[in-house]
Amino acid sequence: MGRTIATFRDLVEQEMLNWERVFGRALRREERTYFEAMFNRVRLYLQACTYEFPVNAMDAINVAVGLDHEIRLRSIEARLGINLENQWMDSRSLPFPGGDDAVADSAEPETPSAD
Amino acid sequence: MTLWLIQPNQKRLRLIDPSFHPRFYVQGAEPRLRQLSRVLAARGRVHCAITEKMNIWEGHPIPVLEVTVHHPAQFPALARFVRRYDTRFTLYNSDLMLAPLYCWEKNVFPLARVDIETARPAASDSCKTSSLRKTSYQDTSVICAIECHDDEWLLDYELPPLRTLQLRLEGLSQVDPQHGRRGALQAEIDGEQQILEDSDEPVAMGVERLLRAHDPDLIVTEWGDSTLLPALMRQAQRLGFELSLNRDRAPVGHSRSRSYMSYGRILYKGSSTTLSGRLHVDLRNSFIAHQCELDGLWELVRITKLTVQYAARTSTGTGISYMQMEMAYRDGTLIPAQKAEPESPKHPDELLLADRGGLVFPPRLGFFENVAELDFASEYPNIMARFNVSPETVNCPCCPDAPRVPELGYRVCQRRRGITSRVVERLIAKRQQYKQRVKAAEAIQNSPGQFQVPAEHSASYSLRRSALKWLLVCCFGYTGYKNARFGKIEAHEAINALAREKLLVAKEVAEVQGYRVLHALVDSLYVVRLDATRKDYERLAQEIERLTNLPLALEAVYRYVVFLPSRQNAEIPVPNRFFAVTENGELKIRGLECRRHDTPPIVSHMQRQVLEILAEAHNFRSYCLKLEEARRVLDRYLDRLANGSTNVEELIIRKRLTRSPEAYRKDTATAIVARQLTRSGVKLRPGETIEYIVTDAGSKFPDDRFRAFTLWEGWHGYDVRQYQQALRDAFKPFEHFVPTPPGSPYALDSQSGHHRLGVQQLRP
Repeated sequence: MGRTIATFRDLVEQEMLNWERVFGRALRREERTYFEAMFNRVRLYLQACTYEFPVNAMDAINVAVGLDHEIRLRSIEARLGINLENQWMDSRSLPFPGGDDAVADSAEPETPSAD
Repeated sequence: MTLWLIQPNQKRLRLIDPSFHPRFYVQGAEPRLRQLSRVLAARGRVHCAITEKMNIWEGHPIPVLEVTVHHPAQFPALARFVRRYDTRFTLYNSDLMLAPLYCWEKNVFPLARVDIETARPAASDSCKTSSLRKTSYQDTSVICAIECHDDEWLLDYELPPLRTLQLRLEGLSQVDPQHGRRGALQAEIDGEQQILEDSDEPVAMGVERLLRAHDPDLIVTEWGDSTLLPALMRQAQRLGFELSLNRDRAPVGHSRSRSYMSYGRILYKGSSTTLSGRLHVDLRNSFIAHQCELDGLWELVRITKLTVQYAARTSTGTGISYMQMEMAYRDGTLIPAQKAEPESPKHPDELLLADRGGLVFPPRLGFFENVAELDFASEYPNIMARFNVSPETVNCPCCPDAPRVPELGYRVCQRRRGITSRVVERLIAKRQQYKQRVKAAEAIQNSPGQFQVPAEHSASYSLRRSALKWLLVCCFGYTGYKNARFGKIEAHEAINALAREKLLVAKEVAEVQGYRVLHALVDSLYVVRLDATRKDYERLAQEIERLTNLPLALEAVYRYVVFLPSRQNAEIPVPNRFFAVTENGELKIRGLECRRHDTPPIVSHMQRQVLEILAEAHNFRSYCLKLEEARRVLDRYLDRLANGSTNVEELIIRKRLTRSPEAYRKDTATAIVARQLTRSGVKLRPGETIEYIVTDAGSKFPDDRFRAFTLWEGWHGYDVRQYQQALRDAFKPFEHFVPTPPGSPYALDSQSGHHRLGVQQLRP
């Protein structure tokens, strides 16, 4: 493991470098930060990628990125107390509550965890 | 074969067993084999016969030429000759070490109690292996019969009464004396300590005096292999006498040091100095003695049947290989000389699926209370034992309809029990029995008014258990090792596939029962449910055990666990970087600085002290309170550095050389220090460890930045700022998830990212 076949963690790194060369070159500086963060977050789902291990690593990376977005979107929804699912056809702006920053202003959880 | 024994009357004997005739086997075309037997007969005293022996891979007997060598000393040379004589021959049992082979044949093992019958009249005695007095060793008796009155699988055994001489240099034992460390020689025998210094009498003469007066059976040294014994022998030679390190006339054994690669790292193996008639163990050149002390070494020697001095210096992998070979020998199966089983061809897709290790679920980051750790006990060995996964049983030719391994579809033999499976089965069982003994001893010790079991018994069981653990760990790795005789990569892959499957089943069971899986690492799971009691966790463990058919233990219930992110990216979790406190207040630490070898002791001490304080906390709120107390510890350490009241040995940083000193291109700390040592006449090799002090990391002159510990003198001073920074960095994990109150002196400095600590005036 890791010698004959690269580990998935290495593959994520390799794919990021591959995409950074051309795709990343045409990104703005501020966008590139998120580009890297997006790939880094795939490492949260490494076990599933490793278990699946598709021939094309990007297949699993794409699913992991999509899943990560889904999870984070749901958690933002939960914190904001809204449900975007009911509003997917609604063209009105998102119902942000008044105040400066709903996420930042929310109370600290009793035992904080990063997820 | 020469044997050294200790009689019950304390007399040491050197005995020869002339009845040992080792055999090897040659496979090839019959006419060529007949020709070979004629050629061999002309070269030495051998007996050749065509016979049939079992081939491990094919599972049926094959015709081979059995070559019995009359004199064991000729065994390796004759085997080498056959290999060169015709490269089409396949050799079996030809490159085995003679001592274990003797043990297998005579059913004895090193350090065993034996009964012997010698050629001299009235010499039937109960003896133990090892040795004595110089004059008597030359008149050697001959063994007529030897019978073992011991069992290597016993839990309680008596060791031979070895007289031990300890030799070490004064000062920091971890620093290689070849790097310039000087100190007087300390000798200890029969509880008496002596300091030998050249000013009184030449040290070699002092050692010779001790050897003659006490005639020790075992010499335990620190750096004896590479430095002490060779230096003593050189001094003795200069003074015109021979140091009686050996009890007979054989020369002292010496092997060279070497650097080698393992798992992408360059490692260094020091030279060795081995004795005859006495045992020499260098604690600094012995993995097993370093990890499990001498108790572990004795255990290893008894069950692997390797000689003491060899077992002390070799990897535990050799031990497990010899155990497998013994099993094969007793089955009458041929032992291939080299690995003969290449990897079977695979489609790239199959390779992608097969070439994977255990599953790792990255941890959820944060502070979690009431977490349980569930561990599969010796999971990989248990998979080998319970599912009969052994190199010769995976995809065997005899069972086309056998059940398949998940994901990979490999078959596992239903007819034969695998050699590896049988070996690990016994090891697991013995290890489990030791565990029960340790628990029983602890229970007795903790109950007041009970008869007290000596603490050393419990410690000894733990050390022996740990030695067995290393054998088991290697056993799995060796199935995939390219040079392992009984290695087959498919067996390695099958074990991994089964382990992944079992971990996923465990995760599913936990989730179905309402637990949240925080982290899973190959064979252990960290699960949490806030309202769960210890009983609930135990029930969960039982349920997983039932469904996976693998033993699973509730390792601990933690008051809290703190899973920390990667050092580079605060969002990304990394396995094995956390700390946890059990219900009893015991700590479990992984991946923090205090667990790393390259951390200066002052940082490790600070971190451990802080953790002791934090271990008193029961929940997040009390953790925050304890953290305030812990910060005062950090302050004290920072002060000690600033006012110079720290001990220089606490500042040592240890690093491994990844290349030879001249091959470094950049002025890294390791490169600078390696060059300093080379200039002072030290010969360094890749893989060696060097020690240094940070003197002035910001200096324009690279040589002033770091100083090798052995070349460090007081006037160089140390870099207060660097060490303070290391202390602060080592404190960061503890406050990672704790919000710092605004205005606190510990608030993060937005510019430097460091805590503002106004009290310290850093010395330049």
